Amino acid sequence: MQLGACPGNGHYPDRLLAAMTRVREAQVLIRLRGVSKTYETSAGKFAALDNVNLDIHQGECVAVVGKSGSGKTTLINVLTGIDTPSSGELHVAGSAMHQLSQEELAVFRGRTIGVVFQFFQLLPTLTVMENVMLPMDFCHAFPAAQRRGRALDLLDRLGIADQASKLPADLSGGQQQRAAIARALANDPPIVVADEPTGNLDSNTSEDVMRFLAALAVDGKTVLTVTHERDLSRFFTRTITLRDGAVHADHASVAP
Amino acid sequence: MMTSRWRKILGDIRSARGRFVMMTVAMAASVCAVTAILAAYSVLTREVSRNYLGTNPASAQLKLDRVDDELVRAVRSRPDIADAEASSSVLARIEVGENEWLPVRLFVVPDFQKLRINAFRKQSGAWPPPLGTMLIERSALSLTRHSVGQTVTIQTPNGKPYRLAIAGLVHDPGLAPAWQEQAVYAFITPATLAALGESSDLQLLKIVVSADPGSVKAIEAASASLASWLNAGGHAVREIRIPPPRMHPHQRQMTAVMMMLLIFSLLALLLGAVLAATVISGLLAQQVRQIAIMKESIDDYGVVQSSLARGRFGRALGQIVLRVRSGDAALTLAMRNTFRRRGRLTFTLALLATAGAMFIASSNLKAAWERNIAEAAAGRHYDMEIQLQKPAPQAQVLDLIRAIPGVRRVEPWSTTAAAVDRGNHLNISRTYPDGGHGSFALRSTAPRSDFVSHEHLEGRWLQPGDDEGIVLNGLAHASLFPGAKIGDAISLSVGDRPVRLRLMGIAQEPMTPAAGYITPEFFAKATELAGLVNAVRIALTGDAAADPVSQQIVRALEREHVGVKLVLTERTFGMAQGGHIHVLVFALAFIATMMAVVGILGLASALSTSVIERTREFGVMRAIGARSADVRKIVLTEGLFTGLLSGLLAVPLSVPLSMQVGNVIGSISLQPLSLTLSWGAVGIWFAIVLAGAAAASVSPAIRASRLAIRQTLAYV
Repeated sequence: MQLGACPGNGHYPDRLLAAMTRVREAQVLIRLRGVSKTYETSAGKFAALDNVNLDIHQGECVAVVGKSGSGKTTLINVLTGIDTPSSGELHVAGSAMHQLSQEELAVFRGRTIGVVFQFFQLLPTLTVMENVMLPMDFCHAFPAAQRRGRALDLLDRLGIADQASKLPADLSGGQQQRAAIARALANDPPIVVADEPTGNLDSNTSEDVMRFLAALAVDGKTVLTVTHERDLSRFFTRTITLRDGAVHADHASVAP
Repeated sequence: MMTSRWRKILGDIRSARGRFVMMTVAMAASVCAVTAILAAYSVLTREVSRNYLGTNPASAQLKLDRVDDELVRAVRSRPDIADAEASSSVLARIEVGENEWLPVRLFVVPDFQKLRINAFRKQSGAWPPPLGTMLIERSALSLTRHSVGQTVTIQTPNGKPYRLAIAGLVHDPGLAPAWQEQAVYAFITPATLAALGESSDLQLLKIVVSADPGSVKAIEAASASLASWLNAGGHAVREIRIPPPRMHPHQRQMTAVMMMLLIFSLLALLLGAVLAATVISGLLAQQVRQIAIMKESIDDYGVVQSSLARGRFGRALGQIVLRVRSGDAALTLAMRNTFRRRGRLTFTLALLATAGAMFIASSNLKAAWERNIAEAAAGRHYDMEIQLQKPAPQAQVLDLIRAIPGVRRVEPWSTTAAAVDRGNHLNISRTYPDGGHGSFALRSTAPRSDFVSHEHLEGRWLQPGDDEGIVLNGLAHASLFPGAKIGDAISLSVGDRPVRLRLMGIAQEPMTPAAGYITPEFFAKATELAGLVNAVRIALTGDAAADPVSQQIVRALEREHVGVKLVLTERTFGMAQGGHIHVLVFALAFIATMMAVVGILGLASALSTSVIERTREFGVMRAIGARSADVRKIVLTEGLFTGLLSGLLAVPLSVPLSMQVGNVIGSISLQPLSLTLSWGAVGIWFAIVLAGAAAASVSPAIRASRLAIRQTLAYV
């Protein structure tokens, strides 16, 4: 779907509501049981995550909120395999991530989880198109001959196909974030994780980006987003609030 | 208490200790090289010069029929003469193996206790050498294949083979190293010379002039005045030898080699400085954010933006770099990363390309020297030259040699020493006391002979009817008749007779002593050796080996009482010429190795900086699915690509460098060095730079692949 084509001004379209209904019946895609993450600091041990238990279903659009230092980024890092839990079990898309090696995690992450960063983190010496092709080249999820066409399709879906041959530095912040989302979707992962994807964007562009991410959930992908912005809460089907590394609140954003 | 500033500096050094070590090693290597070269330069210029001057070298040597004490005293009393001494010098041969002979220059010293001119120092053994013994120059002992105390066979032009014991060693700083010349130097008393079958009369009058002993003109004037006085007094002066004053026989070669080493080592120092700048630049780049934090002005963190699209030049370069792509985005990324930091890339490429150019240039110079030797060998279509102790009947000598199995053809190539005629009827040559350096030989050459084929710098080779024509070789033209053109008159002094010839051609005869070629008819007329021969050149049949045939020839000639002074085969030619470039080859190899080390260290440093600077990018790549191997591949490709680019720059850069250095060395050594591109060196450099680039990339690549993703994403 074209970014911005989905209306989302204060109410959910029928398709989204239907999707939210389906979530409860869908399989659990992410399961955390007793996950803790402790860091050694000069002041002693610091528990960034403390006995977190969560089930996240396919198709959910989840907001992870909390104050600074509450453990949001650590939770995202653990979910994506960027960091490993100190204890507990983590199952993602049927795989026990806590048992995977770093190399296995890299391959698993590349195929299963698309990551969107706050500051886009596009590689500056590659064109937008090449940035989108990069995960496909790393993971070989698609035949080489199809990668360029797929990258162009994704950029087209995000409305920046005409920017494909430009370097990231030549794009606006919003366009760069769209390119980063296209890159996250390159290997068609079932899960998309975004760490404050709108933190560096103006409000209109933020709305567009969130609308697109929410639409991904409608299409069956599981979307987890760390955010500070309450204005965007309407795009989420579920909000998990962290405090001091533990789940303080976990509730559906709207009634199905 | 250490201030926080110093703690930060020490912390920065600790965090980049690998690069600091590399920088220090490279700087140390280049400074060490420069120091070594400067020290060597100092030794070879100051010390060699001082040692040489310490021998009190003769300003001139006058050859007379007999020099006695009374004459020496009379000469010493002349106001234009500072000192005088009688001496003699005989070129004989020494048997170093069974029927294997080398030339030996016998220096006859009347009083070992009172060496005044061309003095040498005792190293070991008896002093003076007792009758029937000799002292050997220390650099010649290995050539004799004997040791002190053993006896060897010596044969002089007029004597029979005689067993002489080696009584000890001396060091004569005035002589070129014997192993370079493939000739032995020995020192004997007049009595021993008499025992060898020669007259004990001394024939050389060595003099040191009083006024301006460093001036050729002053020496010539004093020598001419002395010669006139001697001639008037009934002492016929046969020859005057005035070598380049106050200059060791190998001074030009040493200066050439040292100049080249100096040029290259200074460039190495420059490269070391470039490397240091590269490292500092990398450290500064890494600390930009830290500096910004210290200035409280940072507002962003993320992947470092590219400089590809910064500024007008950056945009233009960016458009070019965007064309660098492969089917694999990861490889494209690696190749384009190479261009990411223009300043650092420039430094690194300058470092590696200059190192490569110097490596290739040094090999080019070596190849040019070797080509000179090869060309010299290619111009010789005979297998050996035999010089006789005394002129012998030509027909007899040729018949004797033709009868030896294995001899295909023999030609007379008589030789005689000659000198430039200076219009005063004095035979003044530039020959050193060793009789070889600075000498000029006139050779009898049949115009139709196919024993030599030289490329001509100007003019042509001798033709029948060129009875008063002469062809000079390159060294003779450059050193004795610079500026002489084809058709110009050439005035020589042969014996004590003036000879006028017309320059017909200048033959490029590299790595060969100064020589002039004239027809046999004119040679016979000039030397009064009609029907006689003192040297022959011999071509062998394809299956004949030079050494056994030469031994048979020598035996056959000696049976007929024709003494052999010298046998020169291709092997001895090669050893003598190779000996002269041995030092050069060693020096060039040293330079090339040093350059490669500094260059590779520079690349390793640049890659290391690049990896650290892009830490966060590697984290991003890992986050989007890159395995460790992918990360390693990217860094390795980047290193190899940089190495490849530097190699492509090094090849064209080596051409002007080779030409310039070749010109400098050629002009100093009087051996023109034409540009010779050593494709072997190009291939070796590419292999070195790519292997070095791979090696230099390994550590940064492994480090990049082992970075913890969480830490890299949080990397500041």
